[in-house]
Amino acid sequence: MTVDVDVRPAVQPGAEQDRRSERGRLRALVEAPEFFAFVFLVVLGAFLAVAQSGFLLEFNLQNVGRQTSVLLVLSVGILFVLLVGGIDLSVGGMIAFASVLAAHFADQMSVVAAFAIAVAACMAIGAINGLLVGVAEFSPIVVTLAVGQVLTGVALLMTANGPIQPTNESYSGLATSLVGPIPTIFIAAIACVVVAHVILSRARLGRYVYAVGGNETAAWLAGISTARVKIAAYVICGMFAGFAGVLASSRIGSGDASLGPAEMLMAFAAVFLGGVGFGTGRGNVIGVVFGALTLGVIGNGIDLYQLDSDWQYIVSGCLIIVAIAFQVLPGRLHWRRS
Amino acid sequence: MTAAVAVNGVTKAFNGVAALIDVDFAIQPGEARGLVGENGAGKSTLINVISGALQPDAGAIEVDGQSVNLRQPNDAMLRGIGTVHQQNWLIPGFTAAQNVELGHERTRTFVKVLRRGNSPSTQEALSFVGMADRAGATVEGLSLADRQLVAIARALFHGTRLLIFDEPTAALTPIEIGYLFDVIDRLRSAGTAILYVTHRLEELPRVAEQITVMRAGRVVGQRPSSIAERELVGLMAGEEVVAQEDVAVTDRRRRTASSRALKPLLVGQDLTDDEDAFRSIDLTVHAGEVLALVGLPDSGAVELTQALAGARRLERGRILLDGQPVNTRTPQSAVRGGISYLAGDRKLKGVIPNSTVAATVTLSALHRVSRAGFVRRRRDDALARQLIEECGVKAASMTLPITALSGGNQQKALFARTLATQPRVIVCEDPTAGVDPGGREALYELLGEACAKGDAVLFSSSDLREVATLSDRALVLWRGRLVAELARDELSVARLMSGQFNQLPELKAMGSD
Repeated sequence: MTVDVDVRPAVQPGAEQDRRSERGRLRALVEAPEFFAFVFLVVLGAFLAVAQSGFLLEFNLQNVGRQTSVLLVLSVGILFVLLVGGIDLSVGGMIAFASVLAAHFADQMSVVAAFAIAVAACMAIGAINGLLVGVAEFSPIVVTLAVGQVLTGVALLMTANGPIQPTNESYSGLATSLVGPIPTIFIAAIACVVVAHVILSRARLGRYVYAVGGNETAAWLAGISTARVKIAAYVICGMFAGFAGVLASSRIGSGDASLGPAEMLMAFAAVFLGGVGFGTGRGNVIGVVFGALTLGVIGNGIDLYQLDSDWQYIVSGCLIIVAIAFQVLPGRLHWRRS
Repeated sequence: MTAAVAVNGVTKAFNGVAALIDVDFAIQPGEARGLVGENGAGKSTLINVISGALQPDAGAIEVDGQSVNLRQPNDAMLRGIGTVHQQNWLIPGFTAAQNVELGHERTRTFVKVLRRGNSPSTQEALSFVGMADRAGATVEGLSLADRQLVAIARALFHGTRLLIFDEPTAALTPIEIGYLFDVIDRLRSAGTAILYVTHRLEELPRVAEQITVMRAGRVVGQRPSSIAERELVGLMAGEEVVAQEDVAVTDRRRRTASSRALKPLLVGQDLTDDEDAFRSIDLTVHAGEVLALVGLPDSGAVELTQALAGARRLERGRILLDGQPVNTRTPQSAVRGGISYLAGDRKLKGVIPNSTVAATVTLSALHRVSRAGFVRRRRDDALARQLIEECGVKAASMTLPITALSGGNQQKALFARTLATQPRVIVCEDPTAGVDPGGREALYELLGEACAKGDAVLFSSSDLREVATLSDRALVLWRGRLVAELARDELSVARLMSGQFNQLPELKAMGSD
């Protein structure tokens, strides 16, 4: 269905007419949160395709997909809490916890059941985060940092004898298998992305998430239960973080408490690169996908050029600054002029 | 004698709306002057011009006979003009002394620069207000009154030519007020001029000798503070306003009144909030009625409005709709019970930036257009279009961001959001603040239409003309209590104003029980 446009003539000159014009539409596109990451991904992809003959090889692209999957899932999870004006620093701990939990149960039951337990546990932890932040109104940074600490500790205790390696071979199957030419793990990640996108763009909850992040007081006064929306956001974040932990665990074939911190940092980088604001209620799944893919491609490019992989932190850090400048500066210049 | 501060022919407009028109004002050293006027009369603008927070469009400011150009608050401070604001901007974790010298901390090198004229040192400033022994106490541990004194000391630190007090007693107890007045007396005898802005007219004879009265951006008179309060209120309201009750207004009232069945719709019993803003209020809103709640900022009228909409906690009392108790613990429970709320302060409490016009109007009523938690786009769009149409929101497209619309159209969109939940009672706060006259008229029509359907509107407004125009009945609050009820044929700006100051003779008994 096409978007209906009310053709009532605008009485207000200026802003409204400006938006209707071609230039206005172009500006809206350029100012969209996901624009920078999209442009950068295209430019980078085109560059690598030309400069590195190995980039477009099927097996290399499969590699990019595998490497980006965990990042994609975790990033869309973080997106939800950032959109409601919160933050979740416990996702690192959740990844460690989920991986250890899944590996722990994998030999006692089916792998799918073990994965489900790990995800459900992280959702429950997300609910605790949500209750503490949304109902008790504790500071989200402090609460989630503390919860993350606890989870990391639990994961470490459970792996006191070293990482847990399930004997069941299908444990790694998720990460290694292919469906046609596409890695299964990447399909799983894309499924998560689609679910997140549908929730944010079609579900009532999605509307409320944006409303709470845009102006919490106004949303509350408009009759929205802001506490419930926040709890839901943290539960969803927990679900995706738990699933990301399962995927990461499947990739290395074991439950390892040292997983988490690196994944968390990269996911925050992907989210900010994708144009998601911190406490502004701005951002969407598309931007996050571009952000995550950009980081994946950067990592791959660094591999192809055989540089030290640690370079990706420096590159992504610089890119985030550039991305923010892209979003903020045009508005400031515009403001100066008027 | 040279005036401490004089303002000559100052004019100031905001977006073409005049806030000050050719204002002349002068205050002598050691003089204490009261400044009164209704909301929007221009008091705050005048204070801001004198204290350098605003620059006048035309006219001149003189300090000690010297023409000055005050570009920012610091320029005024350097000339010994200090302000004690209603809420004083102190830093809670700093000590009293640190707050006093904030931004002007003494350092060895700059000590000469900082010791301007004869401005007292931090310690002197604090001992002047009797706070010398508390210099090291952090502000968060001080009482409101003590904080007020710290704020005064801070103003004194910058000089003592003119001190402006903006509603300084709003949060103080009588004993604390007495102490504040003693400090003001001491300041005056030391030669400081005092400009005292207040709604509490009974304080003026104690503080000031002369009172300057403002109305609609002009100084309309100067009277000795011994003037009768009723006379002062009359001067603030203006005689011509009383005569200005125009025909259209009466028409509208008659129309809404004819559809009024006098069936009680919303009943509040013994309403008392938990922050002592209002106490033991009983009220009834009838079906088809527009009821106004009126009062000064400290009257509790706004707080009562919020409580009825679920946006403020009640300590006791209950609210009935159609005889059934309504849960008003939160706005969402109130909405479910049939009470919908349009909050004041559009930017802070109404608009959700980044959201489209369509998403704005259907936000509160998404349950009407969704199934199993998912919004059904077609129905959502249809509802949005219908609401936009009904409320006459003028937007080139309903997919525009709400912030791209004019203030009046944003307000109409928010009103549409309020209507979308199909409420029985619409509660609003300052429904037309910052809306142009055309938009105002349209909003009045909308409120009238809602009432014609048998719903009721309850609103609070600081714009008394709006109250006189729009409402079928008005309840006047004074310091947390209901002091007057004005029926349709008794409504006028002058009477509302008198009521706000608890100066309606026949009703005075109501307030002093």
